[in-house]
Amino acid sequence: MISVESIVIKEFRGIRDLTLNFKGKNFAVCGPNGTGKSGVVDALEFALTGNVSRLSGEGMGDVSLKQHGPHVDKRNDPDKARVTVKVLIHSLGKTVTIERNLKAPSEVNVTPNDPAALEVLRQVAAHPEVVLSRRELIRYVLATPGKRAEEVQALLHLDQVEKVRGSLQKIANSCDKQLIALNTVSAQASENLKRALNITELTKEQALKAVNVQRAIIGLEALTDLTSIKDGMAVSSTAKPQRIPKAQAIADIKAAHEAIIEITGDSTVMRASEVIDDLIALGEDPAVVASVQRESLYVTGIGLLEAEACPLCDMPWNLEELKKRIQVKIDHLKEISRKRKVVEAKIAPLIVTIRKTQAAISTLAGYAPLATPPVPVEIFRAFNSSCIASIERLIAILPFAETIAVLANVSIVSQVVLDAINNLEKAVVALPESSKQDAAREWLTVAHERLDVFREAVRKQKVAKEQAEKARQISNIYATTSDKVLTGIYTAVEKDFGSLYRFVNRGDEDKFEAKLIPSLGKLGFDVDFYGRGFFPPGAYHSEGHQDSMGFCLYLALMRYTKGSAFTFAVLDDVLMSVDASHRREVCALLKKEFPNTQFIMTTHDPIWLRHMRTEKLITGRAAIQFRNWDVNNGPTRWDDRDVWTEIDDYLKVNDVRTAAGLLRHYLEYTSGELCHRLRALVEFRGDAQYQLGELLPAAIKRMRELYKRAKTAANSWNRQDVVKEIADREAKFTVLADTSNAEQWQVNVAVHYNSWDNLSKQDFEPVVRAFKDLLAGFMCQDCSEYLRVLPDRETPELVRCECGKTAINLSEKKS
Amino acid sequence: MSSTKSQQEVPEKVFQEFLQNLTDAGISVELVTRLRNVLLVNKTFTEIALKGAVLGEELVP
Repeated sequence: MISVESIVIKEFRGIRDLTLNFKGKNFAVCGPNGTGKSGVVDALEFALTGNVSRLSGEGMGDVSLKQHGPHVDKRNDPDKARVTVKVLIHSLGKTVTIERNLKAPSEVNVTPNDPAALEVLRQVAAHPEVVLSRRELIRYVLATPGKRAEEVQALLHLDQVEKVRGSLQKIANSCDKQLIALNTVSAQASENLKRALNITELTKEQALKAVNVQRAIIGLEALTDLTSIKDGMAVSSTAKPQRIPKAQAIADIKAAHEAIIEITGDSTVMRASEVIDDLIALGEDPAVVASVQRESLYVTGIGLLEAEACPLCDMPWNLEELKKRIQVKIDHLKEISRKRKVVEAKIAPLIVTIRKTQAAISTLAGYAPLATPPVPVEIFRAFNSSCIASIERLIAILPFAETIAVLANVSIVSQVVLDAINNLEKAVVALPESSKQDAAREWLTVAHERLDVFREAVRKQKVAKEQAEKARQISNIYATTSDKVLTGIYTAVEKDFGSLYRFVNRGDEDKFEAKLIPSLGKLGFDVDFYGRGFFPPGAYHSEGHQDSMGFCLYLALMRYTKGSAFTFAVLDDVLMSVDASHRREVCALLKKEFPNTQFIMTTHDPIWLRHMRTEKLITGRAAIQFRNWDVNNGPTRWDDRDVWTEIDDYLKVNDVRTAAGLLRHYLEYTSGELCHRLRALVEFRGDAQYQLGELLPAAIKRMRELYKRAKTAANSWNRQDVVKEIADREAKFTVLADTSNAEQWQVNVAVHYNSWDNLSKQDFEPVVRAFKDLLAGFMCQDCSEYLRVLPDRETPELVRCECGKTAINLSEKKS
Repeated sequence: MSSTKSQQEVPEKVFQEFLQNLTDAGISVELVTRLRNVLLVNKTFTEIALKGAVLGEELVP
């Protein structure tokens, strides 16, 4: 997608002013801890995404990007904190400049402001995972399955996939619930209609038969369908006072009595009592009362258990022991959840009984105001509300105390309601009998109304059923699809991860395999341990192996996610626990498997930097070495031009002591590099603490030996011209070495550089010049790179530079 | 694994396959179009938006 050409960092984090030219190639930033390497990483992330995850991640408390992103001396001047990167957008073949400042981190200034480029940069900004630190690395490997799933989901942007899955499930569930309620409504409407028609089974035949009997009484022709029961009935032109249809009202009152008998009967009382006992038993378990909240707390908590001490009180804990204990609690709550479902199943028939009673009494509410004397309709309405509240409580089930209270009263119908029903019944019974014709008209009117209600209920039920089926089907198709795609992803990533890891550990774990095991909201990760079985990565593998696992998993995920667009990544000291030989393999891996990806890598370890160079992961000057950092100036780098200029600056102000210290420090660094490149013999030190007196003379001696060997080789090929050329180089080098007097350190390492401090400016200037010239003697005159011996092991064959213009043969002609 | 695989975000891949599977299952073109708009065009993954797409303008009982 992109590669980064250069970066300019001003007043950002610990950096005052730094320009790095990556030239779209791999690049290494090396330096001891606290020298500003991570500042470069942060600046890259900021320029590309507008954020610095290190300042906004977990546990950062009051630290904020805007307040703490600028250099500490510019903390009140965030617009001075600026990062400018020049990136090449591969797909467009365009180079654009991106600039951000910390005053408005989300505002990005892109030049040229090309819409296509902006779209690419938007996609880059959506992938902050291009920056990887060891902190993130370990999250992939040592995290709990739940946490790992979160990390991997974030990297793959699976949160959207899971969100849609959850929403579609919710929609299907809510449609199911709606259907259940409408089924009840429809059943009640059916019962009411049957009662009005006075039939036992709701069939078209029975309904028509009943309707036509009544129609015949008032001289209407028989119907053949139930389109309009009242078809042909005269519509009254004058409003008549409404009256209670006596026969229907009596039937409805009878139904209400039957419902009351059911709800107050032994069966209901016993069922309610049984459920009360179950709830009391559940409630006696102290963990149950807040089971839902606690289960959620435990599940969240076990996912967060990572540190060796409590994050709240810092008391150390036994992580494995704690996890086991919490898992027992979660399992216990799952058992509670199972018991709760059993109770819910027992409650369901009670809810049906309450609904039936509520529907029956609601019907009577329509007659109440028409009765003489009128029956207070509020009594029926209050009962109706009470039934609805009871149903809601029984569905909610928690808190148990309130549910138990509802169950204790579920079979009690208050005397006020019973009296109201009795009073209504008396009033209805007292009504004069209608004429046969009036009774038939009333019958047909009620039947017509209830048929309408029934039809509407059935229509709604049908729509709800169709919706529920469709929603469930869609949810199921989505679940199947996403499971298939994700399983495919995990299988592919698992395979690629195994292959990458085997490459890094070839010869040691050639048969290594891994298993990514997805389950609901979790992602298990087990790895083979030398054929002894599959275990979590942290179980038996060393920390170094875990680091390389995390790294390989990251690479596999990125390669899957971004495919050919995985063109850029920042690796912030990610392999600190990996040993030298495996780092070398990592270099080879990156070079072989990701030739089109630009890696910007930081490391505190100069040896790994050398590996990057020898494996040609980085070439030429594609590296920077920070030597120190101070709050006023930010990082200082080992750079020839910088060092000599800096030494001159100190001498200008007569600060010989500082200039001498800097020269000594730089010569130590450079001498080590020269010994490495020239394969010089140096007395081995287990602590790797080599002094200048041990390194520089060895490098000079080696250079002389190489010239000698080169002349011998040239003679064997009978190339006198080359012999002369090498002799000239050797003579010049000898003069430089002698002038510096460096080899005398072998005699007494303590004398010379310590005595520099006591020199005057005039005495020290020639010393500086001599060493500057000496170091130049180790360089190619064209590319100014230090020469190196090739190959880096076995018999030396060649001395050459990076550009290839200096190439001195060391191999003699075979006779 | 090929490193030349064209770039497609995982959610996008899931949604594309989902919509194709809906079509294969005989779900109406209108519904699939509504879901396509929500998931791939507007990229609004809210429950309300999805409910509107799944249930459409049919009368909600």
